[in-house]
Amino acid sequence: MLPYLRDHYADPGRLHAEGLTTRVALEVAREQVAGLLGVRPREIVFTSGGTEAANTGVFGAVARAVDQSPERATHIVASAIEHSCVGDSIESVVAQRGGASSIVGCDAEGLIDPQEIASAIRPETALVALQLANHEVGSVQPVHEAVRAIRAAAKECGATPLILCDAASGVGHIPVDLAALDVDLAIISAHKFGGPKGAGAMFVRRGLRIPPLMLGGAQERARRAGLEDVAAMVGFGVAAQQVATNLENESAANFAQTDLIEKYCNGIEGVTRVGPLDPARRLPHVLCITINDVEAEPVLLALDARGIAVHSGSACSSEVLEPSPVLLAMGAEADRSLRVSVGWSTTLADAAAFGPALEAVLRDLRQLRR
Amino acid sequence: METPDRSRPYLERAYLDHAASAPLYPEVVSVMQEALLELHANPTGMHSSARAAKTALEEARERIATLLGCLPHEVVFTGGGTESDNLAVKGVMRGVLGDAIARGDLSGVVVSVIEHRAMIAPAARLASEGARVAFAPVTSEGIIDLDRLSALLDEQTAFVSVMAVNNEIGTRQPLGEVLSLVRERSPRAALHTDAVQAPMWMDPKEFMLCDLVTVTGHKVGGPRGIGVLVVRDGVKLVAEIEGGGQERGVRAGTPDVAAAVALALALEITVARRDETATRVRALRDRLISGVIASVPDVVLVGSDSARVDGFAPFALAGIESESLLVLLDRAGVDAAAGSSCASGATEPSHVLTALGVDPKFIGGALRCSLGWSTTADEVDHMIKVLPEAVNRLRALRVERPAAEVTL
Repeated sequence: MLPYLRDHYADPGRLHAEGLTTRVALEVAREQVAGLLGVRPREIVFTSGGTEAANTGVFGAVARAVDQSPERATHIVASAIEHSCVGDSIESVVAQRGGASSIVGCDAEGLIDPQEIASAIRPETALVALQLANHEVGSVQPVHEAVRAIRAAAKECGATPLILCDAASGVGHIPVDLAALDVDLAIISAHKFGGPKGAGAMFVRRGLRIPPLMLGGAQERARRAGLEDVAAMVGFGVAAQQVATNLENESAANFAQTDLIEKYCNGIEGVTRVGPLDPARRLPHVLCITINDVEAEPVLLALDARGIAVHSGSACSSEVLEPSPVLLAMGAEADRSLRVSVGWSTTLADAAAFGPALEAVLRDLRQLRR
Repeated sequence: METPDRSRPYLERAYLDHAASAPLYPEVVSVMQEALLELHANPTGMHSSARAAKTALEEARERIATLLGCLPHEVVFTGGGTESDNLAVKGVMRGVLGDAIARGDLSGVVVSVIEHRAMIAPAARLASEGARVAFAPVTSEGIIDLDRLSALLDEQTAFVSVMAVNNEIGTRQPLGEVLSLVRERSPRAALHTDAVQAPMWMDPKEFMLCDLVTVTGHKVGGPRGIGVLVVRDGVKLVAEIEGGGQERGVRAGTPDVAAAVALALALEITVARRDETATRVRALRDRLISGVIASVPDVVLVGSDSARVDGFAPFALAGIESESLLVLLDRAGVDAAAGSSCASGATEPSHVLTALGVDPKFIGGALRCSLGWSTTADEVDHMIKVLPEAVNRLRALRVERPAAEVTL
């Protein structure tokens, strides 16, 4: 990123040589991100992050449907365990533009049923939102099967919904081929896999045009106005290339770490591991546990004092610790969850230290109570 | 031909495009690099790493609030100037238009005709959603026409936007008078100003009198991808990007901590060195203007001599196309612009120059030179040296053709 912060600051929309330098860097980054996702560079629209991409996708899909048939109320189908950036956008677009949404639940492991989501499709369905993997419990959804079921159900009732896949939690950790998944829109975020904050992307399937959310400039081929943050996108591109070349090793290392944590936690009294048991159905780097008798907040603080940073619920909803909607949908303990997530900088020793620290913290906290 | 060294471009070339994007201050690059490495956690967590990121973010907010003269919670971080402008107009108007009672009563939007397209485009979209949108004209000097603005304001006006400094011609707008008019004629309206071009040349007090203020990082020696919308207490705003509740529910998304920290420092440097920079840049700019006028025939300066801020030299040349001139200048080592950067790609004449009623002979030949903290006398002299030749070459190529005869 540094050369693009320090030396190459020209607007990539410019005709001059410096503009061309930053334009080339931006387009290389686009190719790197597209390469990680198995799509064409022209299908990648850079944004300020995953949340903006999600809002742009949801808004655009609904605006497109309204443009196509203004007299028809729009309908949206989404899983109950979407990230709040998708869930809240849907809620707000329905409130602003009218229409309705159908929220489809999941099983006790946090997995959705492709048939169930397909059966929610109506003739007026404009958008189906289905995440690739869950950010709290790490469940990897059967997106491929779901897309096929959705397309079949849509065909049957004459609906033409766009399928939006929030891939932010999965990309960089498991292989993702968006072209093979056959979705229309997807969301990714750089800071989930070693890229900078303030960088994200929306995948827009070739040939699809949705109205932009951000207006007032023709950047990103008129899909997203605003001067391109070249340095951040260069960081995003390099991170994408790094994980693309090292995905298998990274994922194996993360599995080893989360397995180690899981094994230890299984032996701690009152601790339950939630999420899919089948390794093929869970993210390598995310592990969620619930504690049956102690609040999450003191546990987080006590772990922090021991030098361990973990989280409760999803980051974005936890300025106040609210019950996790994901765990609620799974029928699990929703107030006392811990999300342990590892990554490229985590060592096996870090992972080995977690279980004993949690055990000690819980012992102390339970003793206080007596 | 020798390939120019691109590793330190502003020492090798004349970079006269500060209004599009200014180079980062070296101090800001160092601080941002450190923040990227150290403040990596998501600031919404509860652990120490998250708290460190959160503390840095809130300190950046406080420093910006102190510089601008507002309360920390009135500073909303966004993804940049375009997003801030979009959020201001859509945020206010969606609140009004979503409320059936307010809607009939308070649906007016008035924006100046020379606003950046980041304001004009969302205003136009709001018109299709039921807002009454009017564009306030400017004088031939590029200053808002207060009488005609007054005529457009009424009790039903909910939102007004007049930029602090125009991005193409550098004219500062009389915000104090605009504010008085808005308060008198449209007491329920929120007044917004796009001040992205202002902090380098004006005391923040001059634009902070508005209810909503847009500021962006990359015009003040800070990074791109970060901006601020100041939302003064009492202004009701509906979020544009949702789902996470950050920035007091007005702008969701993981905050870009490193960029926020870098923006705070860039603004501090800009404000602290403003007088010194402005004095130095004014002398360079005046040297550029007199040098160009003396050596190039048929060139005019657009806008107002008295209201133009120090970094702008907006020329218009007869008998040439901006685009060809920029290509020749580029080959001669000069980075300059035609008009707004966000309009590049489009070749239609600038909406700003059109609004001023610039003579059609000159309108296609706009050449915006913008100077800033890094500009040197060598850069200015280089431009004065190469411009006449580039202009002469293009004018010599131009064949004066009589109007084609049309036979029906």
